[in-house]
Amino acid sequence: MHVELNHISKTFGRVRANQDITLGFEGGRIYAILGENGAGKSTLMKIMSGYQAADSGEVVVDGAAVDLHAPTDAIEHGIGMLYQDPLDFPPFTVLENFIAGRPGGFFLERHTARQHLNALIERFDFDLDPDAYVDMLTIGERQQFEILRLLSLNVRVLILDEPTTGISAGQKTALFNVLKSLARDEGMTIILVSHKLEDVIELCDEAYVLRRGRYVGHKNVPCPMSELVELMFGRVVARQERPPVSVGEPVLVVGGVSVESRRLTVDHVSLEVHAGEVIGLAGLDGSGQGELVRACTGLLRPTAGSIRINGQEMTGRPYPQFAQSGVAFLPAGRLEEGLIGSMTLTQHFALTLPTNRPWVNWFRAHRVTTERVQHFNVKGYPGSPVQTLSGGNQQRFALALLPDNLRLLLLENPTRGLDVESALYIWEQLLRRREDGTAIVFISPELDEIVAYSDRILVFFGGHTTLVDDPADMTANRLGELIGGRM
Amino acid sequence: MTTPANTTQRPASQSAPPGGLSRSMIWRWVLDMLPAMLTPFLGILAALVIIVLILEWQGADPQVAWDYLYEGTLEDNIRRADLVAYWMPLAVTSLGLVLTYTAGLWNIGVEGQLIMGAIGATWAVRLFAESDSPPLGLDLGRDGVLVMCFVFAALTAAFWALIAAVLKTRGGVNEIFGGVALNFIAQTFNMYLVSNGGPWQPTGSRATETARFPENARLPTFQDYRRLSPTTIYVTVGVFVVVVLIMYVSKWGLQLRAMGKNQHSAFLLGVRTERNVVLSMALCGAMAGLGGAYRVLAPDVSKLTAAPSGGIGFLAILVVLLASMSAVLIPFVSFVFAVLSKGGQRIESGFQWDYDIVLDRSLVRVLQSTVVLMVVLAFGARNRFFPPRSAQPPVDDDTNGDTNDG
Ligand SMILES: Nc1ncnc2c1ncn2[C@@H]1O[C@H](COP(=O)(O)OP(=O)(O)OP(=O)(O)O)[C@@H](O)[C@H]1O
Ligand SMILES: [Mg+2]
Repeated sequence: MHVELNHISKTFGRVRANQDITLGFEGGRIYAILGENGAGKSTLMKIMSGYQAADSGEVVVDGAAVDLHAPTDAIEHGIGMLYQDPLDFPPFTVLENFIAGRPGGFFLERHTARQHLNALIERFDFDLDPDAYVDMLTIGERQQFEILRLLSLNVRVLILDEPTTGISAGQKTALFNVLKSLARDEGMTIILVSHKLEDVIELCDEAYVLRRGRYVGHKNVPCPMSELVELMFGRVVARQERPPVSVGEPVLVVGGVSVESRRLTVDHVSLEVHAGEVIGLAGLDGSGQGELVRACTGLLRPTAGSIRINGQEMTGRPYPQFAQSGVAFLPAGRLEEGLIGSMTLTQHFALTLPTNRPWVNWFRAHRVTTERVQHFNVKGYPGSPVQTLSGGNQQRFALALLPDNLRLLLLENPTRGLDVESALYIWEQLLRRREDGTAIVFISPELDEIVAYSDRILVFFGGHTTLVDDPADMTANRLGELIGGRM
Repeated sequence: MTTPANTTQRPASQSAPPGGLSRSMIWRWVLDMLPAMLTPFLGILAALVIIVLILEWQGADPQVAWDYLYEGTLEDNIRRADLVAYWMPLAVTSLGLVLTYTAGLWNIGVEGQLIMGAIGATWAVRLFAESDSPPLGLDLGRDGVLVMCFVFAALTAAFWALIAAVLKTRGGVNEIFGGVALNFIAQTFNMYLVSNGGPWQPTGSRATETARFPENARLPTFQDYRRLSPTTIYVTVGVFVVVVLIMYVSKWGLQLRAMGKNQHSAFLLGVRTERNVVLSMALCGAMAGLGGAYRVLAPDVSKLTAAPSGGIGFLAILVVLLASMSAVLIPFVSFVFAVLSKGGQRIESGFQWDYDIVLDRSLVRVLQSTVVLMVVLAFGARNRFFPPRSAQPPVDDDTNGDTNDG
């Protein structure tokens, strides 16, 4: 199958998301779409998958222009897409959602559908329970489920918009093997939108690069990573040295805390985090890191143990009290928990700016929004609803919304969906907070990130934790072994 | 070309790129906005067609029905005064509902809250106006009694709403189920008070209502319209101002909006969601209670009857949904519904007396629900065929949960 995009253009108000883009995709190959945050990658892919209509231009499948008015049209033409922010599914089980998304009867097929689903899960080596409720799944599991659903609909072109942002290394390897075999053995076209250049180099055959809504170049992969970076940003980007910061008194003391996650109980975690320190939490998706962090913000009650913030006993206190003691939390699901999709940037600041007045000072909110948006380089206007920002820009906005002068900052996947340059920039901002004595605890599925930024690493495996005190000679590979249980 | 918008581009605009571009952009904008603006009107139009069909089927001439509708509501000053007397409690209750529905709380219990308001007002009358020994020996004049009536009404109804709120926040009982149960209890309690042998039924009476309130518990009326009281208008305007301030100026209103859109995110952004559930329910209850007080204190009623609300609570839910929770639209939408209610009654009685055609008793309800159904359907169809531009990726099942009322 051969798919072409011809002279695609798309504007949103003042934003030109895609400008006259022409690309071609062959069967049996794996493509990467690269570009900085807000370059127009998701927009282009949504046009190709029928979710959005282009202002002008056409999608050509095997030589014939097709009309795509809805994702179902695209699926009929064999094009399916995994969206960047997982869809809201109704509160059904995995199996029920799987059946509901398919043409045909709802009741008769249950048994065959289950077999079909189980076969797919097995083949992909995914860890997915057909009877789990979809709204209880982690982001990674939801993505896995979406992929399975699309494959069961017989798509020939599979578009994945940042599929690896929420999944573990093991899940990723399994996914990549499957994607390779789908391309090599079954002649499918795979299109991967990603900011992780290592992934692109490992997986893809070709890369198309977009910059500010325009198509700026093509590379055959593998190629040196720096060439891709230069094409994406128009210049070379380098990681900065991290300035040393002196470590202060303990901010967070976790004493023998046990938390229950969906699958396992994590027992007796003890950890002392000092002002100015950065602690990375490493572990496979769902190993209890998320639960520990939530326990440290008062969103989840630990089953045992105590949590002290600034020397004060806080176990079992509600979230607002943690917030008052200078603890902030940035969850992974931006639009599900953290931001309110249909509210504008200014409204978010109006909501969160501390004030004693009962009314909203819109001038101040607007001013602060403009400042912060500029400072964090968010591509969006104060009046844009958050859901119209590109994925990476939503992430930057979520970070911009965090208050100053915090004691403890807990982050779940802080650079999810950020391009290389912005990820570096965001970490620069975060590390600068240490100078004010902020302690940072972060979870990341990217082991490189953990190794690069942590002063100490807490490794989660099988309900136990191990503290790596000196990560100086720790490598991502070694860390990968630890979180997989190999000592 | 893949988009429908492009097919509307005129050839002339293509030959002149700069002007043409902006013109096509305006066109596209208009095409985008058009469905949104036309939706309610198309819904009302569809409702009219259906209503005409129903009338024809019942053997009534729609033209005559239209005349009755006008005659029953707007033709002369007395009718207009009656219409306003009905409009005020509906509007004040709907204004209260703006708060809860914005916060994402389906306060179905508003009907019961309104009834409790009516009971509270009556209670105040019994305490301060009818009793020989008022509490604390207070001898309030008429104004004092009336103020107590409104205060009592607001407080009892707010208390009733608080039960639903606490059931939700502490007991995890959905406000819809709690509300339905509390409505039933309120209705039953009201019935108990005024029915045979009930404590508030005058001895020897067989009517299910209290005695007429004494002189010093009657609302002042306009000189020319004995059935309309200016007080209700003043109070409603005051409530309107308060609700508009809350919704468009206050920080609390913004918090309610945030909660309504995503309660979990709002909580993480620092909104005290539980407290706001309780507060908005209580405030809404208080406003519904005022509506209940209007109903019993109305100059032509002036007593607690077996059904003081007359369904105004349920009607207010329709009003607030159709006004899409916008405080400034409430006066207009509630007016339309008041016209439909009052006019519907006149249509019914008119046909019966003048033409000897007995229309179905529930015609009034049918009229209202048809309008609601059609407008809601029109919105549903709009979302289906012209999805708003900034929407999230489509969801498998569709939004059509609002059509089960009336
Ligand atoms: N529905 C929309 N309304 C308004 N603007 C939009 C909308 N969708 C996208 N945009 C804008 O279009 C531009 C491109 O967005 P897009 O989502 O395609 O970026 P992206 O390349 O996927 O970025 P990221 O890597 O951050 O996901 C952004 O500036 C974004 O704000
Ligand atoms: Mg994107």
